[in-house]
Amino acid sequence: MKLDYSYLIVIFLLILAGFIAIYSSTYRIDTELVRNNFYKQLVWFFVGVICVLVIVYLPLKFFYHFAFFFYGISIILLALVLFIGKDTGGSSRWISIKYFNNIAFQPSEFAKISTVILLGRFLSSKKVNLSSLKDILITLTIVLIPLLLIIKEPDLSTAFVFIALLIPVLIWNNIPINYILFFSFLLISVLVIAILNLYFLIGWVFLVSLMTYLWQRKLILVSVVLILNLGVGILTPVLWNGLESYQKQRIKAFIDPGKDPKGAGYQVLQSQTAIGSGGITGKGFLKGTQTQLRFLPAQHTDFVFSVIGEEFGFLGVCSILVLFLIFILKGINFALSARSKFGEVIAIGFTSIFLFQIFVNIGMNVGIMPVTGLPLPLMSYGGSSFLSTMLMIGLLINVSMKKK
Amino acid sequence: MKAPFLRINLTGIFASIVWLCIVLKLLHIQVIKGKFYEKKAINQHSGVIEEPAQRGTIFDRNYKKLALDLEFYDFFATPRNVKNPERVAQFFARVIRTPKRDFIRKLKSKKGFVYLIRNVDAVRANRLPMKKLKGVSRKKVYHRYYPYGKFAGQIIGCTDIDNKPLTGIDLKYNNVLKGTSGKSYVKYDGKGRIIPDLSKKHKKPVKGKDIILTIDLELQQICEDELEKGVKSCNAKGGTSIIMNPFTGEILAMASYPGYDPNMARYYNSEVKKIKSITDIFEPGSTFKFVTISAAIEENIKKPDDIVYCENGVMKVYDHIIRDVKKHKWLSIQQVFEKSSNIGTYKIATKVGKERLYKYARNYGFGKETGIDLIGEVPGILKFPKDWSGISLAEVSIGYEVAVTPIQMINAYSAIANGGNLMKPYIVKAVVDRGKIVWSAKPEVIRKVISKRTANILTAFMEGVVKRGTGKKAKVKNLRIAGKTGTAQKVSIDGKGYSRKNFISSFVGFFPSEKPEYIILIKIDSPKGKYYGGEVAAPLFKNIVQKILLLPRKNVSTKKYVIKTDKNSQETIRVPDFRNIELNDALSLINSLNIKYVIKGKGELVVSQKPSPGKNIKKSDFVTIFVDTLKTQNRLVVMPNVIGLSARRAINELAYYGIDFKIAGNGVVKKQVPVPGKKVLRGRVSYLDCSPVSK
Repeated sequence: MKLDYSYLIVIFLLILAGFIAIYSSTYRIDTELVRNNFYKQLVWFFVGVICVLVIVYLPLKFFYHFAFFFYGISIILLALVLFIGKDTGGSSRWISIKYFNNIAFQPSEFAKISTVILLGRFLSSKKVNLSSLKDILITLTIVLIPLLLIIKEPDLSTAFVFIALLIPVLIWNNIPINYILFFSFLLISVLVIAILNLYFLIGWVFLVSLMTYLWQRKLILVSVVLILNLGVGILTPVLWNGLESYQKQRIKAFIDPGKDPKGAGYQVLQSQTAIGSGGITGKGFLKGTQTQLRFLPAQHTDFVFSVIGEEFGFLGVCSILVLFLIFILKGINFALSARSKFGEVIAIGFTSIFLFQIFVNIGMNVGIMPVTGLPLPLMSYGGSSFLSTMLMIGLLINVSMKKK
Repeated sequence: MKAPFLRINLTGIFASIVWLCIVLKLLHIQVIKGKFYEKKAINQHSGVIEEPAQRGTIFDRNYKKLALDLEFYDFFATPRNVKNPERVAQFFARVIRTPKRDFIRKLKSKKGFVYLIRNVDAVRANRLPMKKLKGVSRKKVYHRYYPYGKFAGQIIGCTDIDNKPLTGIDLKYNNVLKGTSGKSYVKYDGKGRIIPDLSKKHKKPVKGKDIILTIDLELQQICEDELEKGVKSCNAKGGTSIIMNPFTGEILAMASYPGYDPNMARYYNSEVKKIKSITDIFEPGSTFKFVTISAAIEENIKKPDDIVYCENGVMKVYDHIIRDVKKHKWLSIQQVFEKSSNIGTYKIATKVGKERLYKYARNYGFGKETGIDLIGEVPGILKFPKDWSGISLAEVSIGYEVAVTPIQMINAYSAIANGGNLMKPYIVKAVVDRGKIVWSAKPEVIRKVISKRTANILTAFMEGVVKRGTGKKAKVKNLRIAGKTGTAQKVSIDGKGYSRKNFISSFVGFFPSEKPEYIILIKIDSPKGKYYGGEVAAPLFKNIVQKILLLPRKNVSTKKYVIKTDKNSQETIRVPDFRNIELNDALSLINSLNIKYVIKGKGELVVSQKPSPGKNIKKSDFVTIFVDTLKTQNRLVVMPNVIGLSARRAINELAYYGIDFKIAGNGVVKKQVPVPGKKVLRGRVSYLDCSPVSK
C-alpha cells in the first residue's frame, strides 16, 4: 500500500487555486448571498476531504459489489429530476432537499460515477469480449440509459461527458478496429449533413457501404451500415431543430462570437477580454478589473479560469495547465498500474471525464469551445460537482493503492 | 493480453494535443494580443463624467449683467432602483408644484433612465432631500439668463438647451466664456452601474472668464426704444441703428428692429437674430457722397467755395439721366453737399476721376470688413475701377453701384469726426478673470484717410447739412450737430433697375461737432409715406440725441468693476423684473441677488410681483411673486394691433410675440381675432382677415 503524495499535492494546489479565484470573484460584491459562496465552498471542501478518506479506506470490492445498486439509484434520481427537478433557466437538472437547508444537487454528477463503476464491473468479467456485438450493445446500453435521461433534462454538455468516457473505455478494452471505424463513419455522416447537404450524405453513405461490401461481402452488415449512416444523417437536422433555442444560440455564438456581442457571444468575448488583458504576468490578486467589475456573469463557476487568467496572467494559467496535465497523466498511469481490470476501467473512465471537462471548460474560457455549463474540476464553485470530483479522486487513489 | 501502445496512450496523446491547443490560444490572446485586450478592457470599464462649467458673464461697460449663467438641476432616476415611487413622487410634487401622477408615471416606467424634471432652480432643488430619494440623482447644469431681455439681444447672442452658444458674442468669444468643464473619473461594472474611480483625481470645473462690452446699456435701450418707435411711425420694414465713440471705435449701442429676446430664442426665426449692422448690405445713396467731396478737398481739386453748375436739376450722362430733387443752378461745393445735389457731386467726381474715387472709398473702409469682433461681417461690394462702366463714376459718386454695411458707413464718418483716422470698431472692452482684468482692448487706427484740415472742412459741411440743408430735422437746440442724410432707392424685387416705392432712408451724425463724443447712424428700411432720409431718419436721430442728453454724464473706467459691484449689492437692491418669466428663472435670479421672497399661487409662470420692478428695497425686505399655472411654453402675451398692416408685416409682428396665425385673403389686415390688447397664450392661433387696399 503506497500513497502517491505528489498526486495529492497537485490536487491540493489546484483546489487552492480554485479558492483564490473564487475569493477574488466574490470579493467586494455587494450581496451577502454571493459572499457566502466562498464559505460554502470551504464547507464542501471539508465534506469532500472526508469522502476521499472514507473511500480510500474502503475496499475496492465494495464498489464492485454495489455497482448495480449505485447505478440503479442514479437512474431513479435522474428519472425523478424530470418530475420534481428545480427549474433553472429552462431545464431541470437539480433536486433540492428541503430538509438540508435547501441544498440542491445534480444527480447527473453521481450518474457519471455509478455508470463508470458499472462499466468497470461489466467489462472486468472474464466472459465479456468486446469483439462480440452483444457485449458492445450491453456496454452501449449501460451508458445510453443515463445519457438519454440527461438529454431529456436537457443537459447536452453532461450527456457528452458520457460519450467522452465511453470512447476511451472501449478503446482501452480492445474493441476491434472495425467497430471504431464503424463509429467514426457515423460521426462523419453527422458532419457531412451538418456542413454540406443531403446529396453529399447520400454519396458518402454509398461510399461507406461499398467499402464495407468490399471488405466483408456480407449483405446484412452492408445494409446495417447503410441504414445506420443514413438514419443518423437524416436524424441530425431533426435533432438540431429539437434543440432549445439557447443551445442553438450558444453553438452559433461559438462559431461567430462577434455577431451577437451582447447576447450569447457576450460571455465568450468577455472571457477572452479578461484573459487577454491579463497579459504575461497578470494584473495581480484582487486587481483584475474585469473580474472585480463583474463583466463575466458566471465568473466563480464556469468562468473561474478566466479569473486566474486575468489576475495571474499567462504564467498563472500555464501553471494551472501544468498541474492539470500532471493530474490527468497520473490518472492514466493509475490505470496502467492497476492491479485489476475493474480498477483499470474506473481509472481510465474517471480520467477521461476529467480530461473532457477540463478541455471543454478551459476551451470555452479561451474561446476554442462553445459555451456550455460544464464546470472546471476542482476549481469551479459548486457543491455537487466538487463533491463528485472528490468522490472520483477518492476512487482513483483507492485504485492506485489497492492490490488485487 | 495487453493492449498495444497506441491504444494505451490514446488518452494521454489526446490530452497532450488538447493542452497544446489551449496553450497556443493562450499565447495568442495573452502574449501576442495582450495589449489589444488590455485596451479593450479599459475602454469597457473606465469612463469620464463631465461637469459643466459656468459660462462667464457678459457685462455692459457699466457692469450691468447682460447675460449670466444661472444654476439649475436636472433630476433623473433609474426606475428599477426606486423602492418607493409614491413617496419620491410626493416629495417632487410638493417642491416642484406639479401633479404627483406625472412623477409616478415616470418612476414606474420600464426604461433604464428617465428625466423626472429638468432645469429646477437651485433653491427648490436644495429642498429635495437626495438622501431620502433612493434611485434618484441630480445633475447641476447652467442656463444662460438675460436679465434685460431683448436689449442687445442680437449682440449678446443666445444659447441652446445645452447652454451651447448659437450666435453673437457668446459664440464669438466662446473660448473665453466657456471655462473648463470638470471631470470625474468613474468605472462601469458589468451591469452598467457607475462606481467612482478613486485612483484618479476629480477635476473641478473652472468658471469661464467674464467679458465687458463697450455697449452702454442705457444708450442701447434708448437706441432700441427710439428705433422701434421710428420704424413703427413710418410703417417701415425694419431699421438699424449704431452709436459709436468716434475717437476709439467702441460700439456703444447697436440695434436692429425687429429684435428678439434671447431668453425665448427658440420662438424666433434666425432673421431677427442677425446683427444686421454687419451682415446686411445696402446701397447708401447720398450718405456716400462725402467720399467724393473729401477726395476733392483732400486732393486740392476743389476748394469749399468753388462753384459748379448743377444743370437745373437734369443731366444726361451717356444714356442715363441724373436728376436732383430740387432744381439748382450754381452751387458751391459746400452747398452741393448740404443740398445733396447729385449732379453737383457727379461733376466734382469727374474731376476726381475714378481711380482716386475708388482709392478714397477703399481707404474709408468700403468693400472690406471693418474687422469688428463679431461673427458674420460681410465686406460689401466696391468694384475695381477697371470693372466700372461708363455710368459707374456717376453712380458710385452718389452712392449707387456700391453696397455697404451700416458699420462701414458709421466707421467711415467716424474718421471725419475724429480728424481723419479710420478706426477699427470693437465691441469687447475687456476680459475679466475672477475680478481681475486679464485683457483690455486698445483703440486701433487702421489708417489716416484724410488730413485734419479736410476733416474740419467736411465737419463744417455736415454742420451745414443740419443747420440749413437736408438734415434740418435733426437739429437740437444749443448743440452743434454734424450730419448727412441719405435716401436710396432699393433695387426692385425683380432685379431690374430701382424700385420707385421702396427706399432706404439713412442719417449719420455726430455731436457735439466741435469735440464729438457720439456718432450715430440710423437706417430705416422701406418706410411708407415719407421716405427722405431728412424726413424719416433725421428726426429719429434727434430723438435719440435728446434722450442721451438727459442722461447723467458718466465717465467710467473698467478699474471700478470690482469695487462697484461689491458696494452696490450691500446696501439696497433694485428689484428686477420677474414678470412673464418662468418661476425657475425668477428664483435663480432672486437667489443670485440674495433677496428674500414669498411665492403666492401655484404654477410655472410669474404673472406679477410686489414691489414693482425698478424699486429699491432693503436686503431685509421680502419680494412677493405671484405665479400662475400655465404650461411653460404657453406664456401670456398681449395681442398686438395688426389692423391696417400689410399681411406680411402682420406676420412679422405676430411672430415677434410668438403667436401663431392663419390668414384669409391678401393685402391689408381688416379684422383680427383676438382683438388687440387681449391677453393670449403664446403659440395660440390668431385669425387675420385681409383684403386688398382700396384706392
